[in-house]
Parts: sequence; structure tokens; C-alpha cells
Amino acid sequence: QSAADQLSTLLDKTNSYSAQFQQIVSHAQGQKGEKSSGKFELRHPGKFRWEVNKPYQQLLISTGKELWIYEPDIDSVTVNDLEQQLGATPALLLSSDRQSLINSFHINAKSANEYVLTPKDLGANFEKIELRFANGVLVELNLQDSLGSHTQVLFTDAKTNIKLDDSRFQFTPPENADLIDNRRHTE
Amino acid sequence: CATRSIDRTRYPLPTEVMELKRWELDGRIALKNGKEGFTAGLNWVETPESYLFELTGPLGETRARLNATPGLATLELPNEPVLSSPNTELLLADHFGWAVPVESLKFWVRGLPDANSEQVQFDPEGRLQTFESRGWQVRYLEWQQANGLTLPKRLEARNEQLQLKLSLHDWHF
Repeated sequence: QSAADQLSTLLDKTNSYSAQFQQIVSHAQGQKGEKSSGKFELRHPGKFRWEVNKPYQQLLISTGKELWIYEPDIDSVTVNDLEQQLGATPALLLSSDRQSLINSFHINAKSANEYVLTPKDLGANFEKIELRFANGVLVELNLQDSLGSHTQVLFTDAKTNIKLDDSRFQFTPPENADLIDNRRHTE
Repeated sequence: CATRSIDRTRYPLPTEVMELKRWELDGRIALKNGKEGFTAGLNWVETPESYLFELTGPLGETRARLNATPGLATLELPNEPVLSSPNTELLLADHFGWAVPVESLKFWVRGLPDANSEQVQFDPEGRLQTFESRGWQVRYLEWQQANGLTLPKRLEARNEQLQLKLSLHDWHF
């Protein structure tokens, strides 16, 4: 079985997923790294919720069609069309189907639990994405960007195939927030 | 043209903040012109010889990294060759597409007006509230204590074309 098949089987087993995350970003030029933490939820196909609550507030919601980013500290709401190349929104790859994975990445297996993805699209934000599983559940994501920054995301108390309500993957902007609308054609 | 620092005697400014030679901040920044724009993580490292201004995406990916030393700035953008110019602000405007006033922001983020600031106003607690500088209107919305110094937490800067909103959640010096 190819690495892509193995990874797809692993990902397909998880129809929905929720976990706490700790993100650590270290930079090429040795600035001190940044730590952030929050909650991540996803549901096939193409829906995820990435909620940072420390040291700042940020909410990313992929509805499957659009990506909403809400940042109360700078009172901004940004909405973009969901870019289909998965290299642009790595969190999306965790809820995407086998074919889009293969279309977007070269996939190699370091072991039955560790997969290395390199984007086929050269314009992607990341040069390399590593996924690590334990007992079939995602526990770590490592991302290397093209300018030497490295991001490690550790997931804890992960739950899979639980009921996640539609409302978790929808977003209505609050009244006063300043909307930045980058959608190509707005309704 | 690097913006010279403010004339100390003209305003009651916190000297320890003005004398900070090395500092690093982490925050969030929103950049908007009309309806278009984006938000990013902001990482700023200042030393006497240089400063680094970096914008990052939600998963820490670098979207722009500006390294500036007196007389030369280099700009790194993902999947593009490194660019350089003696003028930091032109480099950002021409290649990143946003005329971010980084030379002045160096002072604004510390709650200091720059040498071109006018109509400088302070709030009842003696902290900078608003000023105008080369067409930019700058406003301070919230302050914080960091290692015993009073530094901005949230500020806004607006000119005819661009609106910046900053929230600074981590100071190191």
C-alpha cells in the first residue's frame, strides 16, 4: 500500500476530531520562539475550527467554502475564499479526501505513524509538513516554511468521531468588527 | 531616510522607554486599505545596529521578513528572491504592496511620537493619546505594564490610504 493510501486510510477513519493544541514557532534568525495554545476541531469534508486563546485571541473557521479569521484584539474579521491547494491551509489537509491529498502533495511514510508531505504547488506556504499519529489518532504536526521558520503543533486529549455541531463551523461577524472581505465574488 | 527620534525636551516622555536599545515584541497586526487587507502575527526585534520586522501567518509561516541596518534593508518573501534597497519603506511598498511606515512604527509601538509628530496629546494619566505624523493619525487605545515600564497594548494608525491596527501581547527587553 502506498504512503498516500496508508495516510488516507488513517485520515478517513477520523470523520471528526477535536483536541487541545500547543503551537511553538521557532525562527531562522534565533529570535525567541512564540508559544500559543487553544482548541482545534475538524469535520469531513473541509470543515475545521482553529481557536487560539493564549497569548492572544484568534478564531479560524473553514466552512468548507470560505475561511473566516476573527481577531477581537485588533477588532478584525477577515474572510477569504478557501484556497483549494492544501499547501496554503495545512489544517485543511486533515479533513480532505484522498484525491486532493494526492493532487497537492508528494507523500512519504517515515513509519506507519509518521508521514512527510511536500507540496507539489511551488507557491505553497510550507515546504514540508509532517504528521505523526499514535493509535491512529493525530498527535503532532510539524511545518517548515520556505524562509526557515519551523512550527510544531502538539495535540492533547484528542477525541475522534464525536458529534460536532454545524454551528462549530459557521461564523457570523459581530456588529462592530471591521470586515476585511477578500472573497473574489461576494454575494 | 531613517526617522530621527523625537526632541526629548518638547514632551514629557518616559526616558527609560526612549533609552531602550534592545527590545523584542510579539503581537497581531491588521492592515487594511478600503475593503481589502489581512491580519498577521507581528514579530519585531530591535538592536542598536539593526531591526527585524516579520509578519507571519496563522501557523507561524513567514509572510514577509524585513531586516534593516542603517543604509540597507533586505526583504524576504516566500518563494521569491531576496530583495534589498537603502529605503526600507519603499522596499515594503514596492514588493509587499503595503506602504507600512516601519521607520516611524519603531517609535509608535513604544508609545513615542517620532520627529515629525504634531498635535501631540496626552491622556489624563500622562500617557500619549494621539498625534499626527506625515499624514498618519495615530491613536493609543490600551496600555500595559511590561517589566516595570508602561508600554502600548493596542494602537491604531490611519492615513488616507491605509489603516493599521496593532495589539502587542509580548514585550521583551
